[in-house]
Amino acid sequence: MNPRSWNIIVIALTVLLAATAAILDYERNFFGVFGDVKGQRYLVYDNERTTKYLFGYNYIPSNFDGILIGSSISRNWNTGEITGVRMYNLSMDGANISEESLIVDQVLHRRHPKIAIILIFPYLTETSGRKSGFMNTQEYWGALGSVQLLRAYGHKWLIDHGKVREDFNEFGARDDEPPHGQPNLQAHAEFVIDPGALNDYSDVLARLRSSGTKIVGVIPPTEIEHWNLDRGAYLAYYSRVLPMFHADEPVINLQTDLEIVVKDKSNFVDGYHLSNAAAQEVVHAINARLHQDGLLQ
Amino acid sequence: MLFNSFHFLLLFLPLACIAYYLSAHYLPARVAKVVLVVASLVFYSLGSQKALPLLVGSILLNYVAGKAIHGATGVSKRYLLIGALTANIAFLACFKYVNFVLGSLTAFTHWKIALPNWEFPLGISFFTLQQLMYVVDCSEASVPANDLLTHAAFVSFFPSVISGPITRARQMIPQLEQPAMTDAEKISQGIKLFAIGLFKKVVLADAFSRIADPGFAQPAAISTLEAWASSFGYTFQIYFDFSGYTDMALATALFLGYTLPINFNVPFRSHSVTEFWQRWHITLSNFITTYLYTPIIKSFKKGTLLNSSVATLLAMAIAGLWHGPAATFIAFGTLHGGGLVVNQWWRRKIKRPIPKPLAWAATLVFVNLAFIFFRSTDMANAWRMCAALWPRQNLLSLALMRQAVPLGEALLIVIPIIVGVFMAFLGSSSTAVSQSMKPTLVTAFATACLILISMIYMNSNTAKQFVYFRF
Repeated sequence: MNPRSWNIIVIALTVLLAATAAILDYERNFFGVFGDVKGQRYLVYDNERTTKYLFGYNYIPSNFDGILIGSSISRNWNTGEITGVRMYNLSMDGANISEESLIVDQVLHRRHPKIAIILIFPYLTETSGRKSGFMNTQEYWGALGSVQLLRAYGHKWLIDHGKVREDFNEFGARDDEPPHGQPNLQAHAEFVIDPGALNDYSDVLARLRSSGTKIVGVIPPTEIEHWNLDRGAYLAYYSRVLPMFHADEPVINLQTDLEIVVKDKSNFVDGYHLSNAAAQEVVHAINARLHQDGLLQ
Repeated sequence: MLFNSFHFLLLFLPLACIAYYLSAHYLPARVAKVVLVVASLVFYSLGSQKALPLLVGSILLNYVAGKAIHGATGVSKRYLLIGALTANIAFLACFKYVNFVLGSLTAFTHWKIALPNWEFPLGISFFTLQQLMYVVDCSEASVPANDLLTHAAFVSFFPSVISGPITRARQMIPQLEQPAMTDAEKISQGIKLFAIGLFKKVVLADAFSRIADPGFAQPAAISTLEAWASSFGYTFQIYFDFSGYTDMALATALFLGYTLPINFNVPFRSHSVTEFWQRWHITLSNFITTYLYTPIIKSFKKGTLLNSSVATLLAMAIAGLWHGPAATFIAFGTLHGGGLVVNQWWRRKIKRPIPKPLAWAATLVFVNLAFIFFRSTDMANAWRMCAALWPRQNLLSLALMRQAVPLGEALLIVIPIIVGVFMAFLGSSSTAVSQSMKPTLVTAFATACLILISMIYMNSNTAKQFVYFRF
């Protein structure tokens, strides 16, 4: 073979292989990014940041009319149990409001959800900006072939063959209990609030409002001993965040509404994160309140 | 613009090559050179728009200096050379060392000195060094003074302007005099070389960085095993990163019809520090030998072993400093200088041969130790990392590594790491591989697969910048 033919064959083969891989990945549509995915069921595999960000492009807007914005605190809140609306749980481990807003932006680009529940919790506003190199527009093209996609394929294979368990349901909620940690009983004089995060929080609310989405704030329950220890810090935090909500935007205070839950230590794995059983109780309480207030039919 | 970006691969490179090819074939030679300079300046400005005037200014200054030095004689020639060298060194120092010097002064004297906020111009160390060599060569009349267009093409040549290889005028100017013509064979070799380089950078170097980064981030908390894994991880990372970049630079030049000097020749197969520098960053080694070591040794009255050792240490310390104004870089250079001195003394005084496997292992461990200083953020962290290499209580724990590299990710990097180790120890140089590969269907398929795998990695969030971009 002469070098000229060899060059042509290499270029043609590269184009052919790349096109084949891209077409197969497009057809497989692992992140529900392409085409009509209405009525389909997608689960989170491997990296929840990449996956939930990409779900925001198409899968969530096509299948859900409600969203829950939160951090690991709400990771196991099964929004599938909320009736009258299909709500997707956007919460991610270690997420701050800036990262959550990246997904919210994608969702709002395609569809205006009926209702959005947003957590009122210091962790969300402690830092701002991306915490990883994920969740950028390159991820979209990565759905046609990337290491992230290969990892997700690998993770699904491991689940299908019983090597690891699937932690997420189609509503984005995890059913694995958060890792049990040592309760940290150190008092905070005040919670750190990143000014950038506070801006992002306010921006998310503004964008939801302009999309006609009903906003509901939720103060998650914290184990009473922990809460009392940081009572001053929590009250100071609420005084900064609650004024961002308009008068017609209800705030559900689960700290006061679920007195029985917060007094029982066994409901918490570390004082803050709820056990799965308690998380279910919380979701039921939110559901009841949303119906009671006429926010959901 | 990165060589490992889709913008370069699918847009800039084909457009630049086609434009140059057409102008070289159908238009006067001068026009082809103009096309090359314009393409190079566009490439540079896409990476660092603000620094473009600095590159152009440096080209103009050295063009004028080259002309003046070439035309001068006697003392005036000497003064002109000193002036040109001083101007180039001052130019480099302004952007590389001023902040370091003023910062140190502030720390020692507690004076309030406002530090200039100058952005580091891309490739400044490389194009300044290249022009330093050019003015010296002009003064020795070993090259003629360039015309402006040729000089601009030589310095701004886009395959090498950002991270080398550092090319001497006598290697490049004859190629630039008449527009080079590429052919199917050169393109074929270029494709193979580019595929290997791209694979080295985006797959291998980035995989090794995953085991290097956690250890260097927390050198005080790692076990002995993790310290060895991290330090060797970095040694391999920088090799695949830099040699991968060089392969792509050489390949890009071949697409245009030019030949750049090779920069790496399987350095981890060296049996001594001297051999290592004959295989590692070869163009920098040649610069150190010709333009640092030789003038220093000439300045001594006698060429004794002691004088040679002092010259070696000095030259290598300066080479370390060239990488950046930090004690860690000086330590890296000086350590290698020390290694070379030990080599010289052993060869000339002890004269006892060392068994090859032992010499190879000792060289590899020494090189790895020196790279700890190169990678560490400061001397304290470098010492911590060195200390962690010694067996102690925390011997075999992999807790930190497990935390930083989850199992799923570990499975993805383990194959690249095995391939990398095999390539570094047992493989041939990329240039040799690309030259020896016969044009068959099998090699065509293998090359296409290599490019496809690299493109998958390029399309991921793992792609990192080249380590040598910051120099």
